[in-house]
Amino acid sequence: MSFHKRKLAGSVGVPITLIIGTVALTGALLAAVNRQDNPAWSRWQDNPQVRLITPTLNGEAELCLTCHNGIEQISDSHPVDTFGCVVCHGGDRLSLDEEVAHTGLIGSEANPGNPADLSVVEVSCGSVDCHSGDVANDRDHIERVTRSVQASYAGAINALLDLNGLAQEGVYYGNLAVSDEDVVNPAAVEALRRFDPESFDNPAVTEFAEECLTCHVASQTVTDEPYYHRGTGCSSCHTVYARNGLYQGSDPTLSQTETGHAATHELTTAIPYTTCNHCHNRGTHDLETLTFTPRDDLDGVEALSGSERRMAELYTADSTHYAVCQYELDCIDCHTANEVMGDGDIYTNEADARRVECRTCHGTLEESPATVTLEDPNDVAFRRARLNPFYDVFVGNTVLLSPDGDAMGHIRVENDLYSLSSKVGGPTYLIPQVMGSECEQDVERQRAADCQECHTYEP
Amino acid sequence: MARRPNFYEHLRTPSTPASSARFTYTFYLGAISVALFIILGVTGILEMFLYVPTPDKANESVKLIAYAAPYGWLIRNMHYWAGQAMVVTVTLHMARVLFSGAYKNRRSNWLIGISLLLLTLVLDFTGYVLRWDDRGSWALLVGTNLVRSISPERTPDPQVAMGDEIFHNGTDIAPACALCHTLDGTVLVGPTLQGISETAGKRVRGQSARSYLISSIISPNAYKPPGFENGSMYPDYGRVLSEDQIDALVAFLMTQ
Amino acid sequence: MSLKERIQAIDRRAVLRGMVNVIWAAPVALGLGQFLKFLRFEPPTEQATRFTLGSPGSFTTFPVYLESGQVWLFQDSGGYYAVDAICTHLGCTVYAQPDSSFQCRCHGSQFAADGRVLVGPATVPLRFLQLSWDGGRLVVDRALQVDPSVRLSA
Repeated sequence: MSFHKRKLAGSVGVPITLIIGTVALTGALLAAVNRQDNPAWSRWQDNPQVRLITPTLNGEAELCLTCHNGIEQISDSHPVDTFGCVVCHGGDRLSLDEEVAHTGLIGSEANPGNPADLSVVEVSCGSVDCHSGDVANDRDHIERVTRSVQASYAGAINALLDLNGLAQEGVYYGNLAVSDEDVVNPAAVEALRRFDPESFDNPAVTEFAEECLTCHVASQTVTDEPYYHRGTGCSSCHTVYARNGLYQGSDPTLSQTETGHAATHELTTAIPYTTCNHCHNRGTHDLETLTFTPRDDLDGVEALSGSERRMAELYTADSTHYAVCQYELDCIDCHTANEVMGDGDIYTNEADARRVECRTCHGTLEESPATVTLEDPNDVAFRRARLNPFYDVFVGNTVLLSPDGDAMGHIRVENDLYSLSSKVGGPTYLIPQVMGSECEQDVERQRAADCQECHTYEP
Repeated sequence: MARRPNFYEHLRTPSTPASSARFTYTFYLGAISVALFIILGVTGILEMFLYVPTPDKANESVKLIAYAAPYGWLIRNMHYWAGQAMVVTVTLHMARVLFSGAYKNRRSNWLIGISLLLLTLVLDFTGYVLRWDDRGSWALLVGTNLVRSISPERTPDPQVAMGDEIFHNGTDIAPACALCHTLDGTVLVGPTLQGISETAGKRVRGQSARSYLISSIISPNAYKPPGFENGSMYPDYGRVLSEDQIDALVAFLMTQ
Repeated sequence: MSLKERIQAIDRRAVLRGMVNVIWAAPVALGLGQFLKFLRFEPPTEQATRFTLGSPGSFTTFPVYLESGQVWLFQDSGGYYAVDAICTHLGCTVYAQPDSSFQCRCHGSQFAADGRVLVGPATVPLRFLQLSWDGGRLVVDRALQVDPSVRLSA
């Protein structure tokens, strides 16, 4: 039996395996140090360090801000130190690997970064402590929005069915199936059935489904044209999108050249007319021919500024009649949250949901506008004022009352003078009153066109 | 060779028959296994400093090791891959010893080898579960099911236990059933589920208890029991619970 | 063997062997040094409950917000008392007003000087926390709630 004797290093100097091993070990260590000092996420920071926050709401540490370093705080009522990111956005809070961290994000298929899409809103903005709260406290935002005409698209859907002889007595359809046990407004209905285009087996319905069903807050617009960029669900209105759809904030991970992002990662209740403009005033649509004719009069609008630009964007070139309030104010200065977000009732068209008329602010020859003096500090008017950076209201103030009994805190009444502070940062206006004037108003005719017979703006 | 070799000499033999020191004979599998074991020991001890062995913090601490602690990614990856590799090398080593007949006349050595193989497999399993993530908890479920299938004693059915957990505490995204339903006959928001395994099969004609429960979970308005027609149940269980979770919930309800 | 002889006995081979050991040991030492960084990492711990706020002399005005303990520290004729600055609604920071009431800027909850809810959405009163002395410095224990009337005398 022969024996293999281990050799000690040294007969010819150094065994080759030791040299290779040493080189390999050194190389591996240097590679490890390099990777530790330059992790994949270090490109998002000038001075790379892991950024860990522990939100006070749930005490669950998260690392998201390591990459999303510099992202705007979503709003003052959702401070990042309190809420963090994960409670709304989901995802893996302790991963710094892009793919792992973004597993389980709460978002729509089209936009995984938008947790306010109506398909997922109950697990993000919802919850009984948040925006799926009690009707009595006016914290049932999600239920109201899902019943609203902006989400249900019931106006167009039921008009289309009517036009094609498919309407059934007492049966209405909407984008989502909703029902309401407590109908308050006589114009409201008890339920909408879910509109399933295939069940009608009708070419017009099929075409409508293909061409038009992107026009509500539950769906994403499909075009990449300027103006059309918007979020879905709550962020359709509460996040501001730039006209070109580009992100302008300071989160390094978000592309500033790729369209489809909100202008900044911020929520607002001061919703500018440009946000409403992403859908409204985009052109004319015709349910009979199922065509949409986009506006072609917006070229060169960027060269304009101030009220000229506002005028050009709001109204088509061939419309010449508008009262001052229709182009100087922002949409939400007149249209209340109850009208726009829904008031809890289910309507089958936009006209039934409308509340505010010209006389709501201007009154009639016989009557001054309805007002209310705010005594209860828990009144929702105070909450709305606090969330809006542009106006304040205090206990004891007298403010205008909308026809459905909603206090309009931004319209104050003092010494018989009615003044409106714009909710979107515009100036304060004194509202001219019909009573005591020479106005030839017909109390029953309250459409804008009726008043415009006299009150028109001539550019 | 009068002196009996000690364990160190077993690892680093002063003299070995040349025929059995050939690479093509041993493939160095034993030595590699020992090297991997040392790596596992060193990295494992390091990880112990940051690992928190509690159900709510275990996974969090593993992720902090992997992503936040300096070199944690390296230590964790080395630990993980050394563990997986060791299962392979130890198994191959046993196979080599078996096929080369090296176990002959070394009965106690072979038995020690077998126990070390089993120990390696068990430790690999427990290490996998320690991560306390989804895969780990499924591994635990499979493991406990295996144990259950070979032991005739009644251990709690892990599927029922999982359903119990979902019923009472919900999941990260699904609200707990117990927020609205009781199991003791009292009525909260929704009907009590006392004796639901008896009644479920009688609610809808042609629907078994199991399929009734599944459809009531994923589309709560399909059938509304008398007195609860307002249909206020959370509508999205079908989306926020996986099929396995719904099966577990049904298995739990069938015990009620 | 004298030192001189020893040195003379070091041949080229021995020097090479020594150098090899240095080459081999250096990266290992470097690697172990890096592992020390791992051991120095401090994970976010369970929230400690006791926080040293400092000596009262170091505060120029009362009430004062002390971020270390997330409390508002007050002084009145009876002594010192501490009010939890974390809103009972969703956890934002509340701010003390000139009249010693509190306001949460996130969701508008207002609390009276004794912690009672004046305006929602909060429904639970603000907590008054136990203060104690630790060698001339005030210490708050966030885990111990006390009656709003309790004062720590100076």
